[in-house]
Order: sequence, then structure tokens, then C-alpha cells
Amino acid sequence: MTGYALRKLLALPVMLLAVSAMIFVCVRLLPGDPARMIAGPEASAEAVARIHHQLGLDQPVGRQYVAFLSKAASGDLGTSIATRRPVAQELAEHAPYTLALGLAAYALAVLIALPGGVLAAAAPGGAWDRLFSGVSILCVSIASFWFGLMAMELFAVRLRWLPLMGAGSPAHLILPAVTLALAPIGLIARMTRASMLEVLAQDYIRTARAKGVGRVAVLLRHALRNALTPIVTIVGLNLGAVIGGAVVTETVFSWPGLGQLLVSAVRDRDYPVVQGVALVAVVSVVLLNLTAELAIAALNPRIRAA
Amino acid sequence: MAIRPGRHLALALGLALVGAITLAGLFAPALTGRSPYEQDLLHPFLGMSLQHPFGTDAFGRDIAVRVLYGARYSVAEAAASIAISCSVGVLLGLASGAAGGWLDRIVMWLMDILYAFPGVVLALLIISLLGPGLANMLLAISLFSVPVYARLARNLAIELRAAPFVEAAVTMGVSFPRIVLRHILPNAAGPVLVQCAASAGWVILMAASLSFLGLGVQPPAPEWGAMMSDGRNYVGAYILPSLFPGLAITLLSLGFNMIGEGLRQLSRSR
Repeated sequence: MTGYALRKLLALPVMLLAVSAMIFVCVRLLPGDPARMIAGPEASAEAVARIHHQLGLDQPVGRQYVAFLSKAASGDLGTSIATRRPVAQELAEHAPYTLALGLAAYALAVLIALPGGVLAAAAPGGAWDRLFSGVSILCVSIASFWFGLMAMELFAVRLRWLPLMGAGSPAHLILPAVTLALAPIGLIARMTRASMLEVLAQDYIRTARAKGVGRVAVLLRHALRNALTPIVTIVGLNLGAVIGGAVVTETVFSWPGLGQLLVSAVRDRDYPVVQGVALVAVVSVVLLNLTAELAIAALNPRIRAA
Repeated sequence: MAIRPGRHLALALGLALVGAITLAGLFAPALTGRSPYEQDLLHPFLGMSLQHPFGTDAFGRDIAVRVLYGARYSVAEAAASIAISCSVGVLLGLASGAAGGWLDRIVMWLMDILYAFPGVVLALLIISLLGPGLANMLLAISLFSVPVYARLARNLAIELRAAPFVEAAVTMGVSFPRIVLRHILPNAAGPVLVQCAASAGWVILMAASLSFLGLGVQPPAPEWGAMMSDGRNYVGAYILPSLFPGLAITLLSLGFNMIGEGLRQLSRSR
């Protein structure tokens, strides 16, 4: 386990360097001169050149990247063009909202999809299986922003049970979390069912049943434990999709998280903020995937050998 | 193999949904006899009636007409985006898997990097680079799906490379591009098609989301996501301008997902 974990951890910096280089190059290719944007349309050529120099944009690209990295490592991600505040500060203010929303949505998804999928696999073709399979395919197909707007109309406008938008109380979290949970519910449910069915067809399950192990014990102790590897993989891999989904959900509900920050930064061409949010999003996905891989290796000794 | 609606319910329903929506979009001019841009500023936000089955929007435009025309955008967006990502990804994957060695490592490493970007974040990054609009949105969505096809095609290529008929071709001195295109590609087509159908639902949601955020197709085009970015301003007062375009997005995506699920069941039962 230690060797496996070490190999994975050593590959991490290379991956982080590569994704940060990609974001850096993307942002550097942006049309328009950021110095001109900061200075404003009426600024003189000298003023623009001065800002150019301040931002280090007159340096070779390679040196700019190294400077960007060393600054980023010390927590300096530049200054927002729109608000003139440090990007790191903007990120720190918005990140807790996205974290809360993402955690709530993911907890909800796992709590619904995992037991639902196990029950569906326990009696394939049965009434619950058909109903649940239908619901889970609907969950991955539904346009989340549409669901969000309709839920808003019903629960906030008509019934007045929940607040319309924004953040501030736990009740504000309910509609966005449910909206964001839909896609992962569908994915985790389908993966759980498929993985459980595969394991339940194994010889050792028949052996366990033959020696008189109870139905519940077979399902949970013998089958679920072995079915967990692909489930954890899909849960880990789809955290990225959840982070992406948060962009749309946050915009619908005016939830003040990183997604909303990113959308407004893209609209305003606020390139330091776009760069900062993209960096945070990708680095968290890379770290979460690594965590999922390590969790799988801890669950399943066969993976470590490979 | 005949498709029996009873046993292959998901596939039959999915094909019916996608077929009906595609035909509706194709024959929208004949079905409606009206332009999706025709305004009637004296009659905004009408409710459902025989004359306006889905009501009218803020500019008095008939929502039903616009939803029918919108099918053209979504179906074409899905087709174009999948054609791009599938052809690029499959060629990269096949070449990489068939060649092996350092080429394989570099290509797969690049795919891993691309895949680390959450879809929406990558799309937003590219759109902030190139500006909003239909073509840039399609490019952004396509780029994200390339690694999915590349990985699938690579695994198929590695599997097929060891097949006796490919080894025979290698022994006979057939050139590398010819082996990839004539011997490996035709045998990899089935699983790739299943993947195309399965990802179409996601592509449709993604395109609609980006237009909804105002970064894809721009109003007044009758694209479903763009219609909703307009309609969301009236949620709370008038729900029809958001209700029907979103329902259409969901039904089309559902149709493609059911086709994907049905094809997967078919390929498994073989």
C-alpha cells in the first residue's frame, strides 16, 4: 500500500504542473491586452506600458509562467480587474459556499443512490428496480437549470415554503443542493446497480447463500464490499462533474460560490479571476481523484499490485 | 437482430422520442407556418390556448413555434459536437493504442490532463478565450469529450492488435495507417457508436447550459437554452417561457440516454 501510494503521490506534482501550464497558456492567449483593460480605454500608451511592466507581461512567456507559479505557491493569484481586489481573497470568500453546496448535494446523492441501487440489484426486474432505473435515467437527463427554475417557481413562489434565491440560512441550501444532486444520483445509482449485479453473479455469493448466510448479510457484507471499487471510482471521477454542475446551479439560485464568480468573470473578461477559479477547480479535481484512487487501493488489495 | 419493443423498451422509447423531436424540427416550417422571430408586442405572456398551445413570450412570440424550431439547434449541436470529438478522439486513440510505446504514453498523458478539467470549467475557459457563440461553444464541448473516445478507442486497438487477423496483416507487411484504418477501425465501430449515443444526452445538456448562461447561442435565436436565459427573468410571474424549452431539452436528452442504455443492453445480451 505504501509503495502504491508513494508512486501516485510522486505523479501528482507533474500533473499539477501540466494543468497549471495549460491554464496559464490558455489565459495568456486571451484576445485583448489585459493591461489596456486595467488602464481603461483613455489611458496613454506610457500608462499601458507601465502596467505591462508591473504585471510582468513584457517578460518572455517561460519566465512569466515561473513567476506565476512562484507567486501562486505563496498564495498570490493576482488582482481582479473588475473589483481590484486580490484574486485569492475573492476565491476565499466564494469557496466556502461552493464547498457547502457540493458537500450537501453529494451527501444527498450518496444517501439516495447507494441504498436505492443496492435494493434494485437485490431483485432485478422487480417493481422497485424498474421504478428506480427509470428515475435514475431521468436524473441524468434532466436539464438542471430547468429543474432549478421549476422548483423555485413551485416551492418558493407558489407554496412559499423555501427562500427564492441567495444564501444566508440553511433553508437557502435546500433547492440548490437537490438540483445539484440530480446528476450524481443518476450516475451513482446506475453504477451501484450494475456493479452489485456483477458481484451477485459470482460463485462465492452462491456459496455464501448455500451455507445459509442471510439475505441482508449476503447483500451488504459479501456483495456490497466487493462492489464498492467501481462505485468509489465513479463517485470520485464525478466530483469534477459536480464542481462543473455547480457553475450552472449557482447561477440559477444566485448562490455566491465559485461557479457564479467564474461565470461573471468570463462575461467581464476578468482574466486573473478566470485563471484563479479554473486553477482551484482543476487542482481540487486532481486531488479528489487521487483520494478516490487511494481509497480504492485501501479497499481492494488487487489494485495495489497492478 | 430484430428490436422487440417489449424486451427493448428503453431503446424503442428512446428512438421514438429522438425521432419525433428530430422530425418536428425538420418540418417546423410546414408544421407551424410561422416564423420563430415573429413578434406581437401587443400580446406578451399569453396563457395556453388553441392559437398558442404553449402561450407567448415577453415579445409576444409563439412559444410552441420557437420550441419546434429549437429542435433544429439541439439535434444539430449534438451531431456536430459528437462528430468532431468522436473522429478526433478515435483517430488519436487508435493510433496511440496500435503504435504503443512513447507515442501512446504522451497521448494518454495529454488526455489525462484534459480530463482533469471539469467539463463546464474547460468550456468556460475556452469561451473566455474565443468569445461566446455557437461555433466556439461546440468546439469547447467537443474538446472535453475527446479523451473519452480516445481512451475507448485505445483499449479497443490494444485488444484488436493482438487479434490473429491483425497479426496476419502485420506479417504480410501492410502499412501502419492501413492497419489502423482498414483492420482495426471497422471492428471498433460498434462500441464507439454506443458511446456516441450515450454521450449525446450529456452534450445536449451542456450546450443548453452554456446558452442558458449567455455564452453559447445568443437570443433571439430560438435555441432552447437561449430561450430559457430569457425566460428565467420572468420566473415567479410567467412560467411558460421557461417551462416548455426546458421540458424539450430534458425529453431530447432523455431520448438519447435511453438509446444509449438500450444499445448497452443489446451489446451485453449478445
